[in-house]
Amino acid sequence: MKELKNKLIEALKKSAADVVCCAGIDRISDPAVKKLFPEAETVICVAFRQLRGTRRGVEEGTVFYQYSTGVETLEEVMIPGALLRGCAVLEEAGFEALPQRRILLVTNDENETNFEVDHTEVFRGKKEETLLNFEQCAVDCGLGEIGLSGSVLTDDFGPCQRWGFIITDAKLPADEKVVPHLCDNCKECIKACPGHALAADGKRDSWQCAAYYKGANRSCNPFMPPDAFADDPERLAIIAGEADLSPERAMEVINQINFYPPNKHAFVASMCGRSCDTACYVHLEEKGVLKRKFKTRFRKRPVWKLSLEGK
Amino acid sequence: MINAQIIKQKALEYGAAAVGIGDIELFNGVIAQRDPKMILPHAKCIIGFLFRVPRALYRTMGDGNQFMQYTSVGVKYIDEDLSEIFLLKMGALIENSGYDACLQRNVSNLRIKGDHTTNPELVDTYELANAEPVAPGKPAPEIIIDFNLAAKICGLGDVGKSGHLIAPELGPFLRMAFIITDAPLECDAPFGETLCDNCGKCVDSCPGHAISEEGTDSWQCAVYYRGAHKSNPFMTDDFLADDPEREAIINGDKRFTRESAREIYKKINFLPSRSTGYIPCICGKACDMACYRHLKDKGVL
Repeated sequence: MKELKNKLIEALKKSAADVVCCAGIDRISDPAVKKLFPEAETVICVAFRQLRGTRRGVEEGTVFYQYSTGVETLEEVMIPGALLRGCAVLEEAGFEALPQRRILLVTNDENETNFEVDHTEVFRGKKEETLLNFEQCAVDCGLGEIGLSGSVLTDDFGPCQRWGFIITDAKLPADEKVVPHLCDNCKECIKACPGHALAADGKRDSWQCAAYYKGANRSCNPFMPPDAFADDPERLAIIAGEADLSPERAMEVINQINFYPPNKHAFVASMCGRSCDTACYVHLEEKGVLKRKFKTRFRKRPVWKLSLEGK
Repeated sequence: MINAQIIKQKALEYGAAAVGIGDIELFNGVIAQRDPKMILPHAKCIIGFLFRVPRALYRTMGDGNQFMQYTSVGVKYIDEDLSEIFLLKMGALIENSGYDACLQRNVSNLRIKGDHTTNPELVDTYELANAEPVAPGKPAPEIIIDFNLAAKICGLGDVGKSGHLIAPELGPFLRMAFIITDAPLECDAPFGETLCDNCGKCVDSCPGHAISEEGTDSWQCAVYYRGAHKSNPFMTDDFLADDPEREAIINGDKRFTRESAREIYKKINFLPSRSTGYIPCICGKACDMACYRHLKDKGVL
């Protein structure tokens, strides 16, 4: 089985995967895995880095379009491609292999949304569609640990990676589970959110996040016209990131943010560039705990901020 | 110099599950709108590629547990991304040797003039009803080759009763792409007898009774592919609540035409499709699953 695992890793890395790690079914705590595949023996996590450079444009405030390469392209192109390659290796060896990519347009919970996609495209409360807990399964597989904001952190890339899974009945040798050591509860993720979408305990309000991910805060959205939200009695609170948005209010706000074109596959363009993760990365880099070193630090100057009243 | 062996070796390396090369002359007699020589008049052969769809994707649908992964990874991704990237790489390999390579990905949403069928996998299909030839002797565009025939000519497999291609290693769990080329490659023999033994399992398994002795009624298939049947786990009591034909519809007994199918499409909206144009498969491809099980039991795969 070690030989099969090596062959699988080789195929996945040829498909540009950065990290491949796996766990035996006894270590997987998400019951969805067994529901999908009762005979499953192993869950394989296949992770891809989000290039640091895809965040550079948002960091400098000069390019917002390219950020989606690290989101939509990974989710829609790179991850499915690698998963199919991996499944082929396992099927050729006589095993069953079930690929699992993130399905962002369906939620099991009636009241949640996925901030990276257009909320009008999300089918909510679809309990019949079994969805994996991607973060928990990644941790169980040994990819990394869960940080305060809920992002998975790894020694290589901090919070900057995306991943999919292959569930199989092949009993592959497991990798070690990571002992949490990166998140030091610094709360930089909470402070960095332009919409205060993360509570003091790090819990994310998905609707609040969706509104500010898309750019409701004027101070970090250079495309917002001066008359945005002009008829909204909460205008100042919204554009300052201080409005406390219910799901219904968040929908109203999001529907008014049309200052930048969406990406394909229902992904919305991000104005914050997931600033929670960026702040986390900057903190981990400053602490020197990330394995992959760059010639220069990511953050080269103070975070830019526009005036709320515009030009 | 490019040759059949290099083509096959690279195709497998780039992600195809099977590859075969067919003699272009074997298309003689097909209608002009299906003729690859109308795409590349001096073509010598056609190269066929099969892509594997993992078996487990069908199983999770059959168990009623998960439906989005099959359509997202097993249909949309393979047709829209994988096959295109693959074909571009293979095409470059052929062009590097000085030959033409006309890439043929699955033309999912178009139908040639006069073809009134549909593709159940798409939100809808468009018949090129107003197309006209650009010059005497040419057929009206778009030329869309018959993928099933092309696969047979390439020696890759043959269709079963449901009209789906069955290959010796993959059964019906596959997708296809082709390259038409003037490269003088050594051709494979066309596929022999179909693996389908006319068992009728595909007919029995379809919740919409879309398959008969005459083949698959694509509009009937499309209605139930997207979940009009009562075994659809997303269906609630309010589905078609005011429709006097509700029982007949959810039992798969009503017959749909192109017009009535398009009418009921508006009411069948269980999972997201708008952002990709691909309809999540809620019938679980029961026909293909039944076919696969039968062939596996017979030991012919």
